[in-house]
Amino acid sequence: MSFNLLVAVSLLYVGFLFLVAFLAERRAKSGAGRWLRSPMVYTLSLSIYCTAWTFYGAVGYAARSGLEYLTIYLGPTLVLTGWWLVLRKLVRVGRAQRITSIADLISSRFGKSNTLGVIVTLLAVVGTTPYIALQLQSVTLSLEVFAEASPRTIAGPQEGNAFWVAAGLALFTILFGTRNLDANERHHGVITAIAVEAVVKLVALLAVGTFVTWGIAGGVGDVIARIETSPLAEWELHPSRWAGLIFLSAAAVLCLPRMFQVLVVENADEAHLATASWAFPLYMLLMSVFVVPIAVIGLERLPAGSNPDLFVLTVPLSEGRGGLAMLAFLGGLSSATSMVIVAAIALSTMVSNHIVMPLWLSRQRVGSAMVAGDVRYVVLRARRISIGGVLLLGYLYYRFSGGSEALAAIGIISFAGVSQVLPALLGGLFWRGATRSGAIAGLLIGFTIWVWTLFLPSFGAAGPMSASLLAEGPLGLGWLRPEGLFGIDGMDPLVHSLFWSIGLNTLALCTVSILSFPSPLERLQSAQVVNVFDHTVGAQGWARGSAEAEDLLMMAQRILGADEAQDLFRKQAEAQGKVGQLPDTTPEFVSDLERDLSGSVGAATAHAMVGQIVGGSSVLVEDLMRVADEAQQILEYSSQLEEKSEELAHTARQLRDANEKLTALSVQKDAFLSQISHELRTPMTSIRSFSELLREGGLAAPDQARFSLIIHDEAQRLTRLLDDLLDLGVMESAQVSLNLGPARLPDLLDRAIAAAATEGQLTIRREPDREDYELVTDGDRLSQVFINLIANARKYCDSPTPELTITVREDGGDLVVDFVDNGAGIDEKSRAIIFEKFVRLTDTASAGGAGLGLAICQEIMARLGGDVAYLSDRGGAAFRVRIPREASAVAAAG
Amino acid sequence: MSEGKRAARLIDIADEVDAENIPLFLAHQTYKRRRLMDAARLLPLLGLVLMMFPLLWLGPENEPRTATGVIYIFVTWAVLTLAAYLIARRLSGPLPSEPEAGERDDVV
Repeated sequence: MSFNLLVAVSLLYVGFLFLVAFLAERRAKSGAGRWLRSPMVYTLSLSIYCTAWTFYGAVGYAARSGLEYLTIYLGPTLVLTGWWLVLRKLVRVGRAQRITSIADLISSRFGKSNTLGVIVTLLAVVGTTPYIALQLQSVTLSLEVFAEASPRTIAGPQEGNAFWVAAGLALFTILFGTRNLDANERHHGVITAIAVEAVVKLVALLAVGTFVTWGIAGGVGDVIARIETSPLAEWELHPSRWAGLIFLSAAAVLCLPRMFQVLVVENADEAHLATASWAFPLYMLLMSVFVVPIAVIGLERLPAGSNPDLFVLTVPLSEGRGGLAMLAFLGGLSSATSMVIVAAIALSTMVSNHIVMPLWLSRQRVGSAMVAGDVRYVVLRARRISIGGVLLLGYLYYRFSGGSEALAAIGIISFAGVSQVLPALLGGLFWRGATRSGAIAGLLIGFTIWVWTLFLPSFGAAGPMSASLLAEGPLGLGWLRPEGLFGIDGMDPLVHSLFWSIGLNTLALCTVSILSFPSPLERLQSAQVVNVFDHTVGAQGWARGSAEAEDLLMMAQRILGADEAQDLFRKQAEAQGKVGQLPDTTPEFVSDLERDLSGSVGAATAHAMVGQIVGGSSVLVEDLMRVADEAQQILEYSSQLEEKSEELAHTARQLRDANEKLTALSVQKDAFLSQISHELRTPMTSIRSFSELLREGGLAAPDQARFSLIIHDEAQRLTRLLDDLLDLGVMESAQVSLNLGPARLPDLLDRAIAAAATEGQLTIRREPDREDYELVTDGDRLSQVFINLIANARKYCDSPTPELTITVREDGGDLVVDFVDNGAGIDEKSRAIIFEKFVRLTDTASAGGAGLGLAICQEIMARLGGDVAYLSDRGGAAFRVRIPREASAVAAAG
Repeated sequence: MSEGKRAARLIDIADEVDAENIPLFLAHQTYKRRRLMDAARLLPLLGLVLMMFPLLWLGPENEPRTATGVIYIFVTWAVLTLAAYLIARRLSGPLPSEPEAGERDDVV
């Protein structure tokens, strides 16, 4: 088994992978490679979960700790079989929001916060770098195995191996990982190559396992028997580690950046997930089924002190099976390379989208996203540099972490680091109330505790933490000891760290989320993510019309590429019914475009770039919602004001009316008082002077008679005036008793006309045939009303030929009697007061009354259960008397 | 997104079938589909219980045997995988185009 042959075969194999990736990429471009997107390829791509750490390390793990290695596969098995609960939603959100990485998902869910994107990216880099170093180490170690086994070694410089491996991986990743900025961020070439590698590593491990089980041992029964007699016969089951590691590996399969890349970002169809739900557990089952046999045989056959991590290689080699060992080597190489490639792609996407692009954008002037340089080129270059950087970091870590002892444990430590994203991920996925502040607090606390309790101690006493610090805590603070926080000692360090970091992380997420208040964009995004199954409509964040379609097209071309961008715009224009033109920049279109762009550069960056073009007049969702809120408040306030001012106006009007009425009344009252004193004094003066004349005697008989008559008349006038006043007073104090009885309306009218003495002064028009109604009322009182109305017409009608028309009709249960004269009527401003007491509209003495007539009429009608009202628009003065046919009820009530 | 027309699958219409405000009485087929989704949700719980079961083997005296553990875990693992396969196949396989003859609509 020549080392050179191995190198040659390895190079051939790598060349083959390049070819596979290249062909797959070409077929995908021509649209022919449908099988590239089959559920099986998807499932095989998930196999990057099984890295070199599991390919070689699982056997070592089993040789050291028995069945505990299975936890690493059982966690993902539970997650995959439970795909309906979590993964399906994760994939749906990933597709709906065009998520490019786990950092993008967290950032997007919590209001497109780039702070969160940066935190998750840094966490992922810190968690993944040692893991990449571990892969490089496994490749170097396995190469060394062959170099030692080969007598005629012309091995290259040992230290250089890892470097060349890293460089080769960087080249492959850059070639196939950054070929395009696909809107969906899918890498057909890479995924296909990885699927091939997945098959190779499975076949290799199965081949070694088969050889061990049936070649060395005598079949399954024999293997079981050998287990019983091996050092592994007793299963050293640690309940806390068993449960903790199953939880940890389940969390890791969701949170590892590379797993997120293949599970969510590269997913083409949710149904592929259904296939993977059983096929990937099956894959892992097959990968781990021969681990214990290989470990047992290795411990049995190989000399004590052999590195159990390399049993997969050394067992076939020691049995002289060079070809099998080479296959195993290719399997290990596949495991290492596929992990590194996908991890580098995932990390570079995160670094370029969340760190490089925001920095680049912030250095650009506002509004220059479409003029300054080629954004597409910048993104690609950022990604290529990031890939180189990530691999360089891994290489440096490998070089400076020294011995393999520290590295061996790093796999699980790495898992624990990236698992800090789990609370934010699940919280964001299922809990609307999880906020950005909560996620930041949880991540920072979890990350800090992880670094303090697990990551730093992992370097051992030679690392940054001294033995005394580990034993006594910082500055002698015992409760801060990295492996005994809060004075609780004796836990397994991993379980200890896991409990405190994930526990306090979750607690911080929940507490801060409950106490803080999310921004509008956060609330919008939380609804979009948590309720992704209810609605997958996009966030509509842009104002209409302010963004120029040309600018957007130019920017889109630079990010998506000219063809894709033009295609997108053409389709949009067609959808808007504008064939051959640029589409209108409707808010929907801009939101769609933003989502497409975020598929390439991440949500936060896309939001910022579109924001630059939509520019000064850009309206963010926050702005819109704030404006809407304010508008709503103003609207409510103004409608309240309007209501109040209307109320005020109404009151003011009423007050003004009342005031006018009062003023008029006051004037009338003054006039009336002087009038009444005049009215009283005049007859009294006449009576006194004429009675004095009579008492002196000596008058002629005719004079005597004339003077007596005057005295009599004046006395009558006084009586009448006093009667009126008395009447009104009695009426008002409701002490009058009505004398109800049947009466005929014509009779009452006849009596009233006769009594009003209109002869020669007023023509009365009547319609006798329509007056013939019987009613029950107080006839005397009612005819008094009629007399007053008729007398008024006689007194005040100013027509040269005064006429009064009396019409009668029935209206419901009432009789309506209208008295309309042909005079000028009563002017509008006086109508309000004509029914008040003491009112006379003219001062002319000819009226001969005291201004009490209408007031008396109104009182009488009220007592009779009817009313009297002034009718406007009837030509002259018009009064309507409404009389109930039966007045008894009201009278009784009175 | 696969190209062209394809038969509807339960996974495509799951959200409608899974809606919360559904009527009390469902067509037989819809009812069955909802129970299938319940099975998909319960499966990881079953898996968790099965995987934690070995923790109960620990007694004050005896340490469980590795051989027993290997057999138990791989058998349950295989059973879980098989169950996942059966559920996934029905969730993502093409739906029957028409209700079967004699399908009753009023089954609870």
